[in-house]
Amino acid sequence: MFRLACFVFAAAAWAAEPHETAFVQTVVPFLKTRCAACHNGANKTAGLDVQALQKPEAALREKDRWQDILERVRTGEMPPPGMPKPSAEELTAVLHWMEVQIERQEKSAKPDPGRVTARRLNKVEYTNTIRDLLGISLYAADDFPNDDSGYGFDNNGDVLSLSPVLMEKYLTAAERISQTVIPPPTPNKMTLDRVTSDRAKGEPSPGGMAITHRFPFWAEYEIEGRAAIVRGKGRFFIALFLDGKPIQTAEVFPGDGPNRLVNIRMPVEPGDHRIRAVFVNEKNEPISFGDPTQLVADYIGVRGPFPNPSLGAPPAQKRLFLCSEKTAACAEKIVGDLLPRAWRRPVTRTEIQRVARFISMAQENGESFERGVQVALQAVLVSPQFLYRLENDGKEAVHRIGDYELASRLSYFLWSSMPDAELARAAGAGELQTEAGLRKQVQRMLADGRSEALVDSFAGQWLQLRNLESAKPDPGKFPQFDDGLRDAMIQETKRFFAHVVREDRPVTEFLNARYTFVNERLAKHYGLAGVEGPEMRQVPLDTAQRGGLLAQGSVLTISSYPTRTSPVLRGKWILENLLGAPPPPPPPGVPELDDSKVGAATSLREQLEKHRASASCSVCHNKMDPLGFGLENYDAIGNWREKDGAFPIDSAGTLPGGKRFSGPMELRTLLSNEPSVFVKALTEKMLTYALGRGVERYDRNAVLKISNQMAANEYRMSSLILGIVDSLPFQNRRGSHP
Amino acid sequence: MMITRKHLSRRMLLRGAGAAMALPALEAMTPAMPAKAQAAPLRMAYVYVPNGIIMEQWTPAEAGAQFAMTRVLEPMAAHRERMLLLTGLAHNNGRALQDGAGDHARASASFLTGVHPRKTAGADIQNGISVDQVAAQFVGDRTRFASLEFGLEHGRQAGNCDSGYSCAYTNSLAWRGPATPMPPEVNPKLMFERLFGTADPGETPAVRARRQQYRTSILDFVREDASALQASVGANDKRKLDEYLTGVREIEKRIALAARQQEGLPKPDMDRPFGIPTDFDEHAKLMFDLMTVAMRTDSTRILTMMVGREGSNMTYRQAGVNEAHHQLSHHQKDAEKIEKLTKINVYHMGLLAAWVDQLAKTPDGDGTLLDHTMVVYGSGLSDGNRHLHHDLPTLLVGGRGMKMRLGRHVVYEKETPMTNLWLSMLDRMGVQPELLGDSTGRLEHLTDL
Repeated sequence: MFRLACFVFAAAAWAAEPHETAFVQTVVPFLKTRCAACHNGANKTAGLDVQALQKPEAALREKDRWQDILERVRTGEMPPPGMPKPSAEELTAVLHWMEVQIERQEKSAKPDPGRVTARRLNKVEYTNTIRDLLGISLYAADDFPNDDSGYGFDNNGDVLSLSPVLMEKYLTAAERISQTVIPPPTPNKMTLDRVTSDRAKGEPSPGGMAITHRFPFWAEYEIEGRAAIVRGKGRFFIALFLDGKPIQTAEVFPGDGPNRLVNIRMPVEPGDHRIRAVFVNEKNEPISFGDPTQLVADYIGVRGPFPNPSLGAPPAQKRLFLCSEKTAACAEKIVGDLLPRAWRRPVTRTEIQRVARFISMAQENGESFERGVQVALQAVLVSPQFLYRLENDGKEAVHRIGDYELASRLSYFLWSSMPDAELARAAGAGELQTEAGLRKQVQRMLADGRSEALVDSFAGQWLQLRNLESAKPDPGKFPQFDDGLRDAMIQETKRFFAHVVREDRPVTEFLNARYTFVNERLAKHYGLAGVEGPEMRQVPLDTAQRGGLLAQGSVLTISSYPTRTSPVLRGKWILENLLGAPPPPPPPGVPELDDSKVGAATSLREQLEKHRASASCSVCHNKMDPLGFGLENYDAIGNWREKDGAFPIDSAGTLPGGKRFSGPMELRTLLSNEPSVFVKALTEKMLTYALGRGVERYDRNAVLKISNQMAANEYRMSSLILGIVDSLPFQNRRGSHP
Repeated sequence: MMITRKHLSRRMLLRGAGAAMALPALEAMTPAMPAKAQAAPLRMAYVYVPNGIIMEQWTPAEAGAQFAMTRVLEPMAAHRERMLLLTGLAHNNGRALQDGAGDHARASASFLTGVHPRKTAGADIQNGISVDQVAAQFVGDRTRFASLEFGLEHGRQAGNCDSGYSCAYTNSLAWRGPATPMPPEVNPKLMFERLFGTADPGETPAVRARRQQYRTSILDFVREDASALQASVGANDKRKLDEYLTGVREIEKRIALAARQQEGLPKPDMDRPFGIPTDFDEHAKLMFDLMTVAMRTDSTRILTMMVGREGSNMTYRQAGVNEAHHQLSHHQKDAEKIEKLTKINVYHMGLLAAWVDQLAKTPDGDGTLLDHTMVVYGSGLSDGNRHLHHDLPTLLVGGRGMKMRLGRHVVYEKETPMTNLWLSMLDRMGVQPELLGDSTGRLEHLTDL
């Protein structure tokens, strides 16, 4: 009511203004002659009816629709081809008016931080949180159904639903977790689990082998690996790794045959552990493979458990049991330490006692104190306060979220996990309320190994890298594509992204870096000399053929079909992920490209251009295809090529907006010379991920502010992350009672 | 394990169905068999294939009992007399209806619901309740699982799924409520463990009872937690907590049921699978095996199987096709592509045929599992090239429990809602809803002579 009165007053005050005069004199005629033929009350093309916008009182109250119109008119998308083009003066006047109007409306609009829906922990967050809460390694979430994603990310509160199946799995997972922390007594019954494989999936070292094994008891186990084939010159050793740490090495000799074993007996904590058997040289480095060398590990075995009473309680159990008296006081002490960490906030005595009740319940049943703690832990982990990140709704229209809520937003953004002790301490001390305090925590957290989650979860989804895992290039056409190359491609992009984060590089290097990350396999694929060995390393690029995301095998493969490249898919990929302008989907019944004729009678480019001649297609394809053509020098798995079949590659094209480029190098240069579009797109993507909700119109100012700060800081990655953390939507929330 | 319930009592029907239900038809309450034999319950299973079908190779030229098997149907030749082929059914709510592109998402979302899904990529997904879940709410409390959802393709991980539609619409066929999709399990090992547990088989009844007691106390505890939270959160968060509470109640029901069934978990007669086989054939076989086992042990009576996600770009090299399925499906009338798509259609039908063979060989009550099952095999698109939502490929397979006249090809008037068939099937499950999605009544001619 109050706002309405204000508006009436404001509108009246504007009545005599040049802004309204300009509206009547320039904008209304423009709308009538240029737009109303389609965007009228009857047709409402694209949901827009400009008749309603011709009344000053409506027009002057509106912002969002002017924003939409402005963007389409400015880029020349509207009026569409076939309609008479407005003159330059007419355009300038109308665009200027819309800019003033949007600015006015923005100034008068109340800042709106939006409302984030309660976020259920997704699979990655669940696994990481269990790891950090209890200090165990257990992939309990592997059994959960895949999380749906919204706005491109699988941490979206609205989309993360909870089906009855998942609830059941949470209950089972909580039991499994509590038995891993407090394992049952080791039985005196030994078993041998053996895995044999001729194919080392997910193992970057050729000839090596890796498995994930579940160790149910706190005991000693005998782990062994076997070299099946040893051929070649030099000294070779087969090495066993447990969770990435070397545990045993044995020398192998040519002709050793299939029975050369490396083994070790050692205590292993309960949980899921990754065991690798790989070949190394005398310096413990992975071996690089020349042709005459052939080394294959084909077997990993785990024998056990061997009970060893001298081991005492398992480490995770020791950490949880702050005291050992089997009393109510001790029960409260244990729960009092666990509960605030699990629920990510301070808890009340009553809450502690409610949970501790499970311990006395077990004791009343005649079971042990430890069994009681197991049950209490299960209850804590199945509670909605653990499974969801709920934020207090407050009563105010807009309010700062609580310190602990902010700590959780930070830790799930940067680590996909719970706040650690230091972050919780900073939250409790009110340090997150200052910019300096926040900055200190962010820098600390980015330097921490847990920030790898930002690479996997954010980069993996922003760049759609996860789709590479299921990509299946046609083996007939691309026989050189195998799992080794696939892994190297994924690693290249991940290492590249991680480097920009860790070294605080300008984000524009995503477009034009003069370095990349390769191993021998990928270097050969790219035609880069002098790289030996299976491990990924940074290399400077002196060829213009590579550099930036758009020249990486991962991106080029996921934006192709199994049998051929697709300038359409690649153009779409660029628009969606780098330029923040996803094209609308094709209308139903559109003719698809005739694959069989490509490369026979006509080039792919000619085919696509013919396809694009249709008016209904051209609006969008005029944006997508010319971008995608710029990458035609890369085949469907990212090989550099000068010809496609019989036809020389023509990789010239245009950016949306009309700038021309002659090939991939110029495309890169054009994109990075004017980074504002890319920076805005990246900001929106990362903000979506950080908030767990889609970026809305009311976030425009926040996005703009972050982008501006980045421009003032050489586009450093830290300015993006800090800008997000510092933003209105990240630190605030609109209440449920506006 | 034997089935104890011989037929549905009228009182139970009314109690379970609520006020909105019409009176149950008499036939559903008629004991299926003379009292001397154990009557087996009726099951329903939906098998979904994506991206449409080459209809020229699917639809027989002749209607009635004299229809000839077509190329796509041919793998089912041995079961011709168990088939009821329906032509003319449509899903109007799969169409754009001014929502623009996204036919794949709508085809899959509307297939079992008959509802037009809300176009949204993120917040506020909304579909309807699916036919299988309507049945599950009704007969679900008689088995350990109200329903089971199977799939052969993982949900998509990154990017938008179809034209601004949330991936939820293409990842799940079954919808428990308008905003609660039931994602399928694709991992045979995990499905096996759901069905038969991971517990140590040597666990004593006392230990098991204790474990269930703790589970019950934990569920009480978290229910209190969630209910208390509901008082202090906004509408969207309430919805999240509602989902949570629904999950809690489902498990409570199951625990209560297990406590009544003294014999404990049924015994599977298959080995515990290891994980997802890399070979698709093997994967499919395992999952269909598990469906059979789930039915044979009466672990559930309601099943859905998503052979592929709508818009799936799976490659079927085992069928001699190297191209991606969805990409191929826009074949532009290219003969070579149509041939390849037909091969995929035939391959999929082979999977169904192998499963039906198995059902026909598995004894159940007074006959076989096939005698007491209604299988629907179909897709939410007919012509995948043009994204058509009418004349949908619809094949029913089963036995006398269906109470339909099999061995026929029935051609309906164009645009007959698919949901009318779903209603007729629900009748046979003993549920008598008045409406489902866009239904206009019961489907006629199912029992014609």
